[in-house]
Amino acid sequence: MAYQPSDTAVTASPPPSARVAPTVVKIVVAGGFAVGKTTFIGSISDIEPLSTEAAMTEHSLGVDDAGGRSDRKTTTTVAMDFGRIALPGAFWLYLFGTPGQDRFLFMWDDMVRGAIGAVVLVDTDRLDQCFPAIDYFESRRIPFVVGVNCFDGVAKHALEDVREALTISPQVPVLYTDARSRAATKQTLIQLVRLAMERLHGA
Amino acid sequence: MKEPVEHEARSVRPYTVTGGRVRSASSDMPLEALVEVLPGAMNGHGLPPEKRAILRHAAHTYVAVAELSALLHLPIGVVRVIVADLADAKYVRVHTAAPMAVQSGWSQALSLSALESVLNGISAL
Repeated sequence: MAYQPSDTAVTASPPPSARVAPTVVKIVVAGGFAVGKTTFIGSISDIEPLSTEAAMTEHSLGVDDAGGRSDRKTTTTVAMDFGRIALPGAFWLYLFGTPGQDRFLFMWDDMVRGAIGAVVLVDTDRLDQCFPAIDYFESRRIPFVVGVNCFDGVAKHALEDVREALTISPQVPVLYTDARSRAATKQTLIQLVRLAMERLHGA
Repeated sequence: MKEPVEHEARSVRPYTVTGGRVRSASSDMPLEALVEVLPGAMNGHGLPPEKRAILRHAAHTYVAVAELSALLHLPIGVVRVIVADLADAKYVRVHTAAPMAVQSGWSQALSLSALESVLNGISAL
């Protein structure tokens, strides 16, 4: 275990100036509408997941949730949920979750800058909803794992079938997860950090 | 499940509190940048309510820009501008990681040893 000396550990609120600022790291949680991103974050976060919004006046292209096409200039806001986990050694891990629709991808550049990598949550009933996220992370060579969220603890599809349907490379880990379970969320994050370390090794 | 939501009615347009400014050096401020209140800045007398609120929230602990956005119900972009103002005026210090590779989006600042610490930390949860 790589614990730091206890005098640098995150402790309860002495004046900030009296200690060293935590090292902040982050992981992005992506996936389609209602796939369980906030639940995933909440299962492991030290704080109740917070929500904020990015106001957008960008042009919106692509298909909206109602199934109609919209290419006019619109003002909308995108909710972004996030949680925080204090880790030994004065690391603060932030988990940022945001919708994966095409029209919101522009704000991901902001979110993924400096991230360890991403977890793409997948609902096998609505597989197509994770395509934009997977395309995005692949094209930018950002390490990501695919977590197949098992609603009600039921795995409906074999992992290899999911991998094939997503046409992702064999290097991308695909695993079952359960957004409600702290243990499952933990395993998913561990897989991602391991992948990021392998990539860094190979770089 | 919070997903795209419509603008909530606001009594004040968000960017009013920034004097209409939308960008500055602050647009590079990461969502997870930590704000630390500097000694002697605690009360913030004479500052507008949003700035005082930031000083209050960050008085006893580091608070990320994204958290301030959520706590103050202000868009990230607005919080970035206000925090940059507070930093210019030496009320706060903003802690960011080392410079990152913006093009790849993947941080060069992430060292193997840092990732190892994170891995061990998550495993021990």
